[in-house]
Amino acid sequence: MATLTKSIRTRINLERINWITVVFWTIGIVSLVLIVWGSFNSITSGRLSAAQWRDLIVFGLAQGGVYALLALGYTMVYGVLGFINFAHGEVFMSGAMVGFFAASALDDAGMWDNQPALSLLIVLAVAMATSMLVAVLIERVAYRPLRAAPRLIPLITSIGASFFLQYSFRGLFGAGIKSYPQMAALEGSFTILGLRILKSQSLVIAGAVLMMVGLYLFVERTKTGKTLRAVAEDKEIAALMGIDVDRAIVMTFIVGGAMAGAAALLYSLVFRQVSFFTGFFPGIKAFTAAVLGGIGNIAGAMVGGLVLGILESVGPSLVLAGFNIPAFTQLKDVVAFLALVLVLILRPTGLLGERLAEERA
Amino acid sequence: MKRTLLFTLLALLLALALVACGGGAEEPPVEEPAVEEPTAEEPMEEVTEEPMEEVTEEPMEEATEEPMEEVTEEPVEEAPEAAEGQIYLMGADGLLSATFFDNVGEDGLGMFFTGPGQPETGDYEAFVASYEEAYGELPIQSFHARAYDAANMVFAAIEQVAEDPGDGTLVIDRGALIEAMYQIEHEGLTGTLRCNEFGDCASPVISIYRFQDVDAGVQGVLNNVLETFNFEQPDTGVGVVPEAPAEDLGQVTIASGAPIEIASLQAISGPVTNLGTDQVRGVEIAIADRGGELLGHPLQLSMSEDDLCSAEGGTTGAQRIIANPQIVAVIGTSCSGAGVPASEALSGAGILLISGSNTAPVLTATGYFSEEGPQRGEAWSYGYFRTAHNDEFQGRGGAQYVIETLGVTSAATINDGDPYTQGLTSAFGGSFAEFGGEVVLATAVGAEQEDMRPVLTEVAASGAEIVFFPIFEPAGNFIVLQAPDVGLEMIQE
Repeated sequence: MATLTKSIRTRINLERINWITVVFWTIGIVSLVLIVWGSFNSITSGRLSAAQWRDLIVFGLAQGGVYALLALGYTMVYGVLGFINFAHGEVFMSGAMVGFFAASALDDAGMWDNQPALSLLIVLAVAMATSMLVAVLIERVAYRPLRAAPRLIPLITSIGASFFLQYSFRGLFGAGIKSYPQMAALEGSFTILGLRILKSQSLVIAGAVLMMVGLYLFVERTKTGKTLRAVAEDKEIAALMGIDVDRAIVMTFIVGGAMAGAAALLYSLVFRQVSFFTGFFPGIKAFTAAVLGGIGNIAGAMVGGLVLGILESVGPSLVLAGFNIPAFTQLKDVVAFLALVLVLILRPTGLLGERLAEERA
Repeated sequence: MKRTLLFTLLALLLALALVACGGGAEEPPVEEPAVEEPTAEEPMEEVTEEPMEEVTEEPMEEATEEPMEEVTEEPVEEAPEAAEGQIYLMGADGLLSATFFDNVGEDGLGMFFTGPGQPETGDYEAFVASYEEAYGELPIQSFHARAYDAANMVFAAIEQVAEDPGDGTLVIDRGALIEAMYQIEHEGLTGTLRCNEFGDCASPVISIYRFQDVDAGVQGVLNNVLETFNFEQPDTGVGVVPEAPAEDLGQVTIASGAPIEIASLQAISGPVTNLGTDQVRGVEIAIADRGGELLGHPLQLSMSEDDLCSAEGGTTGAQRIIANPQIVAVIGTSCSGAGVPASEALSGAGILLISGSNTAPVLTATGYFSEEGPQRGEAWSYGYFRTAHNDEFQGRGGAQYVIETLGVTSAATINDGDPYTQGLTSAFGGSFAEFGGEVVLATAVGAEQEDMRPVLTEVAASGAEIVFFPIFEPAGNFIVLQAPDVGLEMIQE
């Protein structure tokens, strides 16, 4: 709360108030009022039971876990290199697609149902390996030659890389949808503290949390992590200190790719349908989540992902339904992006604050 | 600099997302969540409380048991009051695709579908045999026969109006070709085809299918017909030629020995590939059955454009076709969403467009079951025809089956913002209410949406006994796969 007030106070620097600020603030405040009003209507109307609200929150957490893992890739690359890697969604998709082949091979062999834990580990390894490989490839081919270019250039390159990867996968594997086999061990649900969670969702949430904790420890406690943080803070000084900057950057992409590969497996367990286009929307949402949480900030990406997932899941039923908008379930993206806009108006550095490489004069 | 960059990017993404989630059909305002989706209110308005005994122009459906399949008359006549969490799932022809059944597998067992009735004539069996011989597999969707008939109607019309000035060339007047189509009567695989002034050429035959055999895939479903509704094509406007938008729509001159070129504009990529590919194959078989020639000139499908099952694809494909002055007629589109802009563009250029699978009522006429009779749909164009049924009939057939045979009185409908899905859910909702049922939830999802659990939670909360979702893959797959997650179990008996 203190930081919020402080950030509001810094915004209302009287010398800098102009009509744009006023417009933004009006929009922000009006939106907040509408949100509260809509939520109030929705909850009091009793359309959904408490159990169903809890279900929605759990769905949101599972979805958010996937977004969080993806957002980590975006945020790390932005922190180190200063541009948004739009091809990260395709890194995710490549892990999911290749993982599908591993999964269906395991299914044919009967291992998918009989040895679920081992099968999951195998597919996880395959997905992570593929994603890491693709990430390193695009770094080497598309981004390294542009290291010295102004930051808009690699951004555009990343969009090109994204299309290239999408259509390469389409050419290689066809335009159809691939369906992951259902895992018998993951069917059904169990109840914790009166909260009903699907087994697949609990795996996703647990897996996402584990990976995030692992990453946090890696970045904070290990030497390589320190190297990454040093390069993220200031590339030139890090180079002067004897750090191999190129290797550190490749390491960043590897770690981001690994997270994307894990996200791919978790996504496939929950949704089970993958195609060459699967990476596009989760990629955009994950980028949004990263900005929501504070771009460049690893903890921010995690928080942003979870928050975005919950907002998308609960938002339409909570806010929009309260205004009796027909077909409100189609507007989940509006809710998510509205939240982003609000956060950026009221707290432009994101929920947990930005952490960017310093500008050189 | 960083801040501006970020803001521009975010503005771009916001625009992208809004376009994506609006399905292109509506453009919601940027900030405030006050969007009007017309779907929910329409079903209620269409109920004019008129009893079904309208004599004059109402298409009197024959007593539904008559010339019927009735292959498996459901033993469960009065479905028991659905137990808590149990629900019927019903899709439509968009999901009658081989890939859908492969992808949902066992989880989809018990699902119902409304769709076009498959022809029963001996010629159809010969067609299927040629299909299998040419492509190595049985038909992969449900509209192949209609595409075949559409192509043949075009060929018959060309035969009628093409003129040979005597030097081996052929001159086809576009205006005359379209006029001939409005008046032609053609015996096709799917029955007698005669076009009315709105462009509807088929006698609507709607079948209710059910998925009950995992291994048999789409063929199994198409053979598992529970009931067929043979609506008679109403006589209004049959053979009437509407006023042409211009005196002279141009001509196609085909040099001696040059081919007569037709084009196809179908969904040949993406999740609905089967819908388009199946129809392109139908057209190719129609050409082959003519020996690849017509009136002494070779007959060629020279352009096969992709309609991407979206308005953008329909527009781009139509523009490419218009740029080729030798194209006589177009067989397309696959999806009504693409059909709306494509028919407008092609009609403006005087090019005949005939579809084997567009079913949205707005493309031809609405109000077949209303007191005033059919009126031109909002997206009607001169020179647009179709050999597929109008969804007002499909909605009616579906609703009638649900009410009478399944004994269900409360329904939820889900569309995806596309004109076809919206039209069909409105038609279903309107008929359902007319028969005494109640549509307790009329909602929508995005076509690219993956997480259907929130909308399914709403369906569960509404207490509907059946959910009708005439959408496409992959959205349809997600609904089937995720329904158990919210406690909705599909009734499989």
